[in-house]
Amino acid sequence: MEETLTVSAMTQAGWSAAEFDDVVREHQSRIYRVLWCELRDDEAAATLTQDCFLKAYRARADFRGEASVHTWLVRIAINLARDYQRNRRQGFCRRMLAGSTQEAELATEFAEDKAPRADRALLAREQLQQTMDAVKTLSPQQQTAFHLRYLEELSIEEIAEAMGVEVGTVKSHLSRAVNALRQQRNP
Amino acid sequence: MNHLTDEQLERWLAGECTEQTRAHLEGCGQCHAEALALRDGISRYGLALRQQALRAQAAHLPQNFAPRKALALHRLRWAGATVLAMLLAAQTAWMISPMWKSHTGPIMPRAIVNAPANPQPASMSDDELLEAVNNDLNREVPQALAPVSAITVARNRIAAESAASHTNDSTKSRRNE
Repeated sequence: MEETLTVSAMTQAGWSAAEFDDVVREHQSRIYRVLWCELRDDEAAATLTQDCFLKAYRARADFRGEASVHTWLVRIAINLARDYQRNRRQGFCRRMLAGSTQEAELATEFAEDKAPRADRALLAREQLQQTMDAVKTLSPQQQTAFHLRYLEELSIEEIAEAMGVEVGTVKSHLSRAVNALRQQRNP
Repeated sequence: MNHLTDEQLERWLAGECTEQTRAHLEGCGQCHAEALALRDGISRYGLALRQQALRAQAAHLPQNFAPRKALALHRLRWAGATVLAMLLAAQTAWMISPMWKSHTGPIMPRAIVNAPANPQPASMSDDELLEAVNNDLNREVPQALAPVSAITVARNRIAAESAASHTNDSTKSRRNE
């Protein structure tokens, strides 16, 4: 609510450069996370985060406040990530290697840090691994919808706005994701 | 008994379930266990990704990033590159121009380049200098007015020739008469 009011006031008055710095400070962590989840590449996510805010800064006059600032920024970020993935011709192997390494790190690290007892650690690791395996079977679009829903906690309408697709498509992506999770758990 | 669909379960996982779904979960142990397991898996997955992203962000994303500064720097770089390119182009054009090939020294106006060299020798004896001064003093007109004088002389000569020619023509015609 507070963000909506602030955005409304900013939009009516026109965003100044200094005001936009506040937007960057407020949203850069989440935008970085969205891009990192999309790409699983630390440096590319950092570069595209800056590109995202540069693009938003240039287009700030076009922002009419119909969606929230975060949704608007996520949409820009996702488009940048799509372009980046499309243009990355020779990075397929590297992406696969990086993805598998990071997933292994995730599973190990989480199990060690968050579960003091061995059996709980094992269970946590297993659950995490199952979820990662299930997510891996999803299409890029379905993965994006899944991440926006459960990491960024966006509503279905916001995800549709951010991804530039229909609400029904988002529902379909999410149902498919849950189905994959269920299948992974009960093969 | 129909168990929860993927969509119903998804809504529940996102905290948007209906009363019907809630009632079903209370009565169905299988769906309840499955829902809880899925929720735990997703929350662990989300937490792990958040931690990784946060760590990567701290290592790779500048904290004081400001788009307007980045944009200004970007434009400054482009302006610098443009100026450099223009300078290089100008230098290249200068190097390949015919003027560069014909002159090795600095460019001078053509009139100055084509002007006759100084007739005076680089070094002059005292006698020669004295003679030159005497010549200058004995001139009928100052050296600066010499071109005007030459024009006047030439005009007078043409006028005299013209007059002489006219006189000859008159004499001939009188004789013929």
